[in-house]
Amino acid sequence: MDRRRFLRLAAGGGLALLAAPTLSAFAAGDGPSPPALPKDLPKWLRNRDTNHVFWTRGRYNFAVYKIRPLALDLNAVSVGHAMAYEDLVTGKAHRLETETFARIDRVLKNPPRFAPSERFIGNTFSRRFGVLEQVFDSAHLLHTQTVDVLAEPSMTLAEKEAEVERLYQVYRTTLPTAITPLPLNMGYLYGQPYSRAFRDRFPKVNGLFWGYHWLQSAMYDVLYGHNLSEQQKVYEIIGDQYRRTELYRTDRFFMPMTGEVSPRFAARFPELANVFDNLHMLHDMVNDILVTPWLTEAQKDEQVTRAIWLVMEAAHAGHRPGDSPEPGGWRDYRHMEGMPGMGLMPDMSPNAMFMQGLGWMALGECHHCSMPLPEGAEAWRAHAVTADGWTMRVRCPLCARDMSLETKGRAVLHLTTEDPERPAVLLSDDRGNLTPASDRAGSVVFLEQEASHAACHEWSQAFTSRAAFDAFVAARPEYRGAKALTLAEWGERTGRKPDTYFRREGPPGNPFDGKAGGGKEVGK
Amino acid sequence: MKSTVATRRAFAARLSALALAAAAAASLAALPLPAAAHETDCPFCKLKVVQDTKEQDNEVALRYGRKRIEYRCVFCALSEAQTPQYPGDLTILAPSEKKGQPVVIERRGGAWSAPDGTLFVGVRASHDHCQVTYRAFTSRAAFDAHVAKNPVLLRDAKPLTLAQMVELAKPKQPK
Amino acid sequence: MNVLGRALSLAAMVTLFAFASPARAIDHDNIDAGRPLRFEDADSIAFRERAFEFGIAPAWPSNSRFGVGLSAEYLYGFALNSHFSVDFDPSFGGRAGTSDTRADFGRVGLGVFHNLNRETLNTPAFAVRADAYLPTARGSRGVDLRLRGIASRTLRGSERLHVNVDAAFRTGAGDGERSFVPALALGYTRPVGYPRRFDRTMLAEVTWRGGEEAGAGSAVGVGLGIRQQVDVRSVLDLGIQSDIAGGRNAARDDFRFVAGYSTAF
Repeated sequence: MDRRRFLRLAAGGGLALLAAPTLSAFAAGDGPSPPALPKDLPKWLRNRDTNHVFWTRGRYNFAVYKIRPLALDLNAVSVGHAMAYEDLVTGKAHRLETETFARIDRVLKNPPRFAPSERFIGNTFSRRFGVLEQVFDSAHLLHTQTVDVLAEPSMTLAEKEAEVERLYQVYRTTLPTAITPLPLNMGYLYGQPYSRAFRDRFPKVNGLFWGYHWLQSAMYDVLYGHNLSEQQKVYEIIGDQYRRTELYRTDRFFMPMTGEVSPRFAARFPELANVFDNLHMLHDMVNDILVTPWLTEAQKDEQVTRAIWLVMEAAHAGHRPGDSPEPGGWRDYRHMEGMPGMGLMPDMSPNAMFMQGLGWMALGECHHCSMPLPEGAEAWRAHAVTADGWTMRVRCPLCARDMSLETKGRAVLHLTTEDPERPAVLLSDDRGNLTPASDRAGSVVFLEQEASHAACHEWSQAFTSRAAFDAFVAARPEYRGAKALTLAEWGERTGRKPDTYFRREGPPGNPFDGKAGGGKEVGK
Repeated sequence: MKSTVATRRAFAARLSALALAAAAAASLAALPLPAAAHETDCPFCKLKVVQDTKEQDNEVALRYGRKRIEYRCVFCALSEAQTPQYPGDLTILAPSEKKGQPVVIERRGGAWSAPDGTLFVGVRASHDHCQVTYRAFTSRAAFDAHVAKNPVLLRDAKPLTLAQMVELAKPKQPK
Repeated sequence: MNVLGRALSLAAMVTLFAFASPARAIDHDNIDAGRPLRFEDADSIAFRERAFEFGIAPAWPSNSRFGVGLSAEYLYGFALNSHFSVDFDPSFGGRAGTSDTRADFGRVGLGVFHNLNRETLNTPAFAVRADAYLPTARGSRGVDLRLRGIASRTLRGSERLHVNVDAAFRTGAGDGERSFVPALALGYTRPVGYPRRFDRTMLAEVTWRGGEEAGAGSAVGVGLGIRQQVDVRSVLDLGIQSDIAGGRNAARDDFRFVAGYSTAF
């Protein structure tokens, strides 16, 4: 390959997507020059210290064990990560898809009672990539403690939100190895010369990694704003989806993003969503580096250091979400419109997101009726549907119900009410029958006076009680005489195709294959 | 270019006013009409579900309890219906040659049934063409007309009964 | 209150404290001195971690009658890679190196541990530890100081070798007592049950320590132990030690059993 052409294309950010099969033909040291290490890297990026940091103390620690299947699944994720990494750096990559996969799968099916230290399972990996381990450990700690806070039944929603914010501040101020909360351009990060090497060569184990990341992202909307009963019942569905389907998918175009599977959490905590997505992308980059045959071992060490630096908070100091001094490049902090907790996806413009199996959409719009979702201080009012591995925010309860009816399998409906602390969480079985996930949803009352979806957030609503319904109706003459629907009555209904729905079209083809006309505004 | 989302918001504001007035005037009873709004990929073959046109229906729907799942063709729906995911009674609404009049295929107690005279075309070809190669018809005449209209893809097509079509669609990945 | 009463009260208090606290797990594969064997690894506890460890050790000294040692230690990770510790080691009955069998509160120890570097593919992890033992034991004089150098290195997989080198200085050494006492411990750790289970570590050690009394020979001991994670917050440990060889008049335990509990919070 012409080297100058290679470098020129690499600078464009999309080459690796096309060129990976060709590049894999190079032997170690004979391939193209890997990206150069930035000059003047901070000393701490090469520190020789251990730097273990303990959990922030709080009564919520280990609350995840109240949702025991989730705790066990997460314990197994720790093992799975470490086993794969250890085999990758001890010359056993050739058996990753067979023996390693089987060994990990057995742990996933028989998860350990306690989360083991990844360092002792992936001992060689930890000794070789100690700083990376520090980055992973502290971010995983943030992951874990955030889950504990959200799972703690004795805290109010406000207390939980405040504690999650505090944990984030502890995370970013304790060690210099904090990952940036800015939305990074995923296309750039996944457009390195080595990108996709792992996915292409080890689809089954890559599927496991992306399955873990699906769980580690999806768990937040399972927990956020829900009481313990709801969390436990919702996780019955989500855990089943994870263990049956998400772990073994080899057809994903891209790693799962927090905003895709926990949009409510990502909308409320965009910094955390971005940290987690950037962390998961760092995992992917490291995987790719380790299995890229044209990198020497020394080059792999350097590229891992570079990959760490690409996502460090310190590397992006002074920038704000939305800045874009290098559009399409490293310093591109634009996010998908309507979702500040999601960086730009590969070959996509801010206003159109391609979701596998669902097509093009705008994250700020209801996917059922295409109407804008509430934003800012009102963002909590968005409802949500979880089914078939995705979670979508929708504009009204009708949209949530009907969208779940149009999707195969079990579903979860998160319906907001007039009380931000009391959503109604409903479970749909695979035939579409709805049941409340906790007692508090049993008394929910619905208004549904179907009309144009331009105002569906008005005429389709859920209330915590008949009194709340009556108060709403009394204040609005247009709803005088409206019937207060019980859950059973409301669950029997089906709405019409929303008059406002329009299908968003993006460039033809699949944007994740690097062939779409990325970066352009996408219209109807 | 002006943001599409912004344009939609302006549109939404105008529609909101109209809708509120409409809501005051009439309380619309929910109708059990087909309601697939968002357009998705076929759960079975993963290709896009082809939308209905003014001239012809294309969307195949599988009703399972209160669920109504759209498939790309009758082959996909019949295939998925025979997986463990759908163990009980169900109904498949397969578009026919008549716009707005789908063929209603039912499975009750494990037995399949369809209206008398129902025939299917079922020809293995690239699944990109499944709208042509797998369809339901209310009569032999309609089947013949469809074959005549697609002489290349359906050159040797024979009409299939429901039983034959169900057998043909026994779960296998579409080509 | 007599010494025995005070010790039991203390043990009861710390036990209650340990079980009542919402604590975090001490990793079963993170080895601290005395839990259950003499050696420790080169890792400090985590920054901001608090840990409490206590144990009971029935022993059969070679030149005395049966006795029981208790131990309780509090650790706090006051800085990155560093921790501070306070420990108590009361005992009842016979103990090695003395004919005194009366209950003894023992010396209170204050220590600082610092991990110098993490282990890499080429370099072991190194740590230093300094302890001062206050003269709180029956008939003790002066402050005993101990410096310990620690190295930990991976052998294969997750098997690790640990070397502890001690230099103890006794500022109040009396007639017939040595003011400098060296010691050496070689430890080996290996997680047990991998890849099916991840909650258990096996330990073994060979130790050598100089005699504390003038004219007393050194003792060579061996030990075998296990650390078992029992819940997310705590680890139980069990060990058996025996001083299998020693010079003339060496302070030796024929057998010593150790059972301990560690928790972090």
